[in-house]
Amino acid sequence: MQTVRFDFVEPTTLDEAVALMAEHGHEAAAVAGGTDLLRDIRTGKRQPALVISLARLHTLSGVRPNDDGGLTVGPLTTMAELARSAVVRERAPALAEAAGHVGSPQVRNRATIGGNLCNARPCADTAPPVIVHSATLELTGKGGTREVAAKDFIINPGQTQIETNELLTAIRLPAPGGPAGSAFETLTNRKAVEITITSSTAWLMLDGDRVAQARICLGSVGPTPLPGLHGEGLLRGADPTPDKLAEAAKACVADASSIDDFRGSADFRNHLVEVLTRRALTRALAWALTRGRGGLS
Amino acid sequence: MSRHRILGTRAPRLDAAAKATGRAVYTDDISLPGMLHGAILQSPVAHARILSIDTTRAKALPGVEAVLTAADVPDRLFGVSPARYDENVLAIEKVLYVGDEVAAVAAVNLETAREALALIDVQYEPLPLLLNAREALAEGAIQIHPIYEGNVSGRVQQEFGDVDAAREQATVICSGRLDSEMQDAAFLEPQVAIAEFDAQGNLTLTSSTQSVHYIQRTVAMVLGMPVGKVRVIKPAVGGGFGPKAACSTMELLTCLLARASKKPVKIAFTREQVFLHSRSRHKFLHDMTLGADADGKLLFLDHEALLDGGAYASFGIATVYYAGSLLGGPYKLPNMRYSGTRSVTNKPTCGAQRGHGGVIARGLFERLLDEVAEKLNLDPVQLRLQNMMEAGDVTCNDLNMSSLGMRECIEAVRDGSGWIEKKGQLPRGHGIGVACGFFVSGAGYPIYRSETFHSTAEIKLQEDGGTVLLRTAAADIGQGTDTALAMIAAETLGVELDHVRVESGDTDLSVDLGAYSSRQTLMSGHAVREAAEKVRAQVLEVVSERLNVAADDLRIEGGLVLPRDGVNLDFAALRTQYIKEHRGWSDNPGEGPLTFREASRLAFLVRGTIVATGGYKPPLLGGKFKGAAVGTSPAYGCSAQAVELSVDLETGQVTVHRVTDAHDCGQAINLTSVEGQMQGSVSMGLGEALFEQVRFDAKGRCLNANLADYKIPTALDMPHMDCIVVETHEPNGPYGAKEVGEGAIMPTIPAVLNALYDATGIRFEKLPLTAQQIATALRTGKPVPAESAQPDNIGYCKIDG
Amino acid sequence: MKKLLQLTVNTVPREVAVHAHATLGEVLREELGLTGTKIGCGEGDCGACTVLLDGEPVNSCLVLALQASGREVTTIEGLADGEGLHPVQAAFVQAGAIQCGFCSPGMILSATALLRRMPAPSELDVRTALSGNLCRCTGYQKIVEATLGAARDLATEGEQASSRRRP
Repeated sequence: MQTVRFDFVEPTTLDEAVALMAEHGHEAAAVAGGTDLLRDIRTGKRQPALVISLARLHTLSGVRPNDDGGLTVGPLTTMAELARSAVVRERAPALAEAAGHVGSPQVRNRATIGGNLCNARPCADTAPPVIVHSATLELTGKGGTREVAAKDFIINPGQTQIETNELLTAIRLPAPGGPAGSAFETLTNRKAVEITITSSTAWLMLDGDRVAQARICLGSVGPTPLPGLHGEGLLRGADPTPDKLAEAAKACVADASSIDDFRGSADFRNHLVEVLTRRALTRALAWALTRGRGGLS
Repeated sequence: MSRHRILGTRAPRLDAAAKATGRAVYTDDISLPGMLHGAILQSPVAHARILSIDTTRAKALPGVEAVLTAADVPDRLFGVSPARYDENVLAIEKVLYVGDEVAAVAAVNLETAREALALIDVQYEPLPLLLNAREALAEGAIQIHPIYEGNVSGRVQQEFGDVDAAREQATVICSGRLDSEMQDAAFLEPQVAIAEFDAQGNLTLTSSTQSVHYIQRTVAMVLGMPVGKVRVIKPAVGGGFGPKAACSTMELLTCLLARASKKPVKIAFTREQVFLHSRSRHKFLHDMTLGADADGKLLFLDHEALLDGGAYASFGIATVYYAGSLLGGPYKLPNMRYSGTRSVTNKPTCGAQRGHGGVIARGLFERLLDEVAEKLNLDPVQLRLQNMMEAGDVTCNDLNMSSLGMRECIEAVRDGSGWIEKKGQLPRGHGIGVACGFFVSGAGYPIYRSETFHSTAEIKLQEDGGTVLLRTAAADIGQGTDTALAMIAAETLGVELDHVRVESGDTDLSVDLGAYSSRQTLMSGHAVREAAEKVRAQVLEVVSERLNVAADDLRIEGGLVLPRDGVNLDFAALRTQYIKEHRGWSDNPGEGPLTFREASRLAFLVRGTIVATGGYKPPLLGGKFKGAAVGTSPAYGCSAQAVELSVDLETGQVTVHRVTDAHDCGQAINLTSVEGQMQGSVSMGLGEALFEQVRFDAKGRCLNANLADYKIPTALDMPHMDCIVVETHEPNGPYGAKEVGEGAIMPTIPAVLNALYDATGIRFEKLPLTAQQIATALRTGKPVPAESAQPDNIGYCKIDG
Repeated sequence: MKKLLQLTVNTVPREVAVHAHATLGEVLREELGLTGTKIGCGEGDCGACTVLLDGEPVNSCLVLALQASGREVTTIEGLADGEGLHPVQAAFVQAGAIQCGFCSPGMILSATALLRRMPAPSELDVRTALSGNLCRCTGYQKIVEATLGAARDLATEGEQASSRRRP
């Protein structure tokens, strides 16, 4: 376990940060909270020559409700802030739940949603919630800003749409357009400080007493978060009875790409996909019915 | 209400404030002038011949001051039990597991030392891997360690009574299996050591250890030094639980690097190295058959165990004995047969961990008791009560239960847990289970054959009369020994606890075998009591002579020397003299009775330094059969627990709601510390039952050598624990005290197994009881089958990864 | 080459030259001599190295020292005011919540941060706040009792008055 040496710089403006990223390319690593990066450096997974700390880019932090009923999340917002934020808990409950599950209280005080999304680990817990909420991610680089749909953002473990000269600068969750709710379900053995064995995140929007739109995202059952397309298809336009939710959950097993590893077998993970998806759908529906009124999610 | 002034109270620990403020000094907090940092090169392969080692580039790196390979260090074998000294400091011809030590470096800082390791070129010739016991014991398997033919590092065959005859008489016979994975002690403080030679060649080794004595002897032996020139000190230690009781290669390398570089050297383990070093709980396979008559009287136990011991022996020979011997009690069991095998494999070495070999075995035994109860339609508590031993009974394997509060414990647990209302009455998925267990209060024999005292202690009174200095090599590793021994000293002398200062954990102070086998309260406690009694007698002799009363007419209580009723004590002259000697002091004694301060001052003036030693050696214990020593003890602590839990019937996740725990510790020295040991034992037991397993890939590399993937319970996993302290007054213990640190873990795993049966109707047989295993069993209706301990059975052992 | 780090530690401004790769935990222990912060794993899994960074508990082994530039760090040494013990420390001592003590500095800081944020926590709040501090010795029960007891003490006495309590 050799010491990795690198240089450290802390830009104070976004332009400065972007310029540094562009100049150093793959030799540099951006760091927000640092909880993932320091572990990666220690295990030798990453060996940057330069670490660019984003901590002083205060505009990239914080949660803002949008007038239209959605919300904008700064990438430097910590998991702890997300879990406690009244706006997030109200408008994107699955995101608050997922953020509250990451690591430990100490890790949550440092880990950021930007880091979680950009590091793109298979078990990244904030990815499924932003995906089911149809978020768009704003990326800013030398050439300006562009937007990428959250569902397209993660390509492979550790690989996202982000270019080496770009930074993630905003995560925007749109207003749902109808009564909606979301929920995040996960299984771990211990009740804290666990890496997700399997997770399922669901978002439902209602039109009257039918499902207008459904989005399901499965975590840790593939190299990246996977959409529960089979389940979504069954739910669209359907009457969300318990049997229907169960049927949709079971259908999502076909969307998973589970493998055996020492944390869990493929068979168990597939079983969990069904169970957790059903539970996530049930809670998302309950939320939509009771709290998801008036255009707010 | 305690009948003692100090014992049985909840005195705050002497070192608690230092630990609470960050002032307590642990080994890694220490830095010596000119100190170098050491690092160890460990094998990346699990089994290989070493073809060559080239250290040229490492030696040339600026800042490197010593580089050692096998050629540079003594080749004297060492280990734990002299009959199984099987370790070299550095690998000579072969490496036997991923982590086996090959070379070591000392440099001006850790970065440089690690850089130097990368510059050492080792050529390995890979050899076939044997990663599980069955493969290692198979005909034709390559011999891993040169000493152990057939890869057997321990073999026990014992029979007491006549099991086959008893089987004929049995109405109910229950057979079953339980297997576990290798587990880790997971103490929070990784091992670290600092070695320094002085100009006269005396060595001081400061180490995070449980036994300064065993480390001292091993270091002296390997380095070829007289024991008297080796001093081992333990500062504050962040937990041990077993693995820190034996000398490690790391400790030896620290000394050898210090000798080579002529500077102090510190080596600190990373958390990964803690896992690779292990010396923690073995992987166990147990097959048992338990038989009873129609009334539920236990008749026989037939037991086969297979232990996966990893590359070296460590404490393993004791482990394979304990796995059998500790089932001789606490129930009357007239016939017991045990066959145990410990195999060598290309994995980290396993050793002694809290409860030693008895824990997983107890898990299966207590589960089978429940199965017997079910077959006979008897309440499991009732079955246990009717088979319980009484104080004074002797087990079939010659273990003497000089005190045994097992009945009181199980009744307390039955009543405290709501057992009668709950057993079998809770909704599906919710269950309650009970179990019992017991453990030695100190091994009856040291790990090396010897007539040594197991503990000695010294008490010296400070000449100004105020302070009692207790000196002992006993090791407080967090269990609270310093405070407990100070309380015994204070109680015996009759002074308040804050009169006592403790110096401990240093081989210069006394001989003490250290913190293992749950021995210090009883054994070190006896030594301290004896020393304190002698000091007390010396003081009272002097005072009684000066004041012209009989020594028997005086008592010391609360720091005061008080006469018997009707006796007049005229000590005015004494007081005057004391005050005269302490002109200028603001706290001189005023009107009250004669103080211990004044009395000890007088004793010094008359006799000089008042000092006395005490010692303890157990009597000869145990039977005459092979291995009889293992399991013997002057006393046994015992425990009963009820665990109430629920299971998510779909995901298999377990939530433990409550544990009711009763433990007989003879006489609680410090009540808070006794509860602390009970609660800590339960938490380790729950972790081992539900989460804990060390996993390896097909190349013998540890997959989860970290505290994220090796899961010990967090604050959110632990339930509320009701702790009931039972006191039966052990005749062989000081003030009736005996152990709590390890007996208290015994019932936890089986109580969980039995509770899960109550909740699901499934008799689980594999540990840990992960959500996956439980969910799988719930879906199929059957438990995931355990591996058999029988070597002849065909049973494929799946290797992970 | 080392960089100059300026930060406040236990209310005192400190200046120290550090490598970019040095963690806050390493710098506190090795450069500033504050060895009360313990390293249990160095990987952010055990919480023994917990310090307060601008009042929030963090694993100091996962913070680069330079990331703490200009910020306030509180270590266990900074909790008590002078001779006495902070109420949380005193509660831990009284309740028997300290055995080997290696987890204690981190645990006490996490507990203190909780009580400052949430003066009347439930038992679940306490266990959640401490869920990132592993303990192998105690089973957490006396730690939880100590924290709830400290909450009551702080409610009646306040933090400043209580911290003059003698050990």
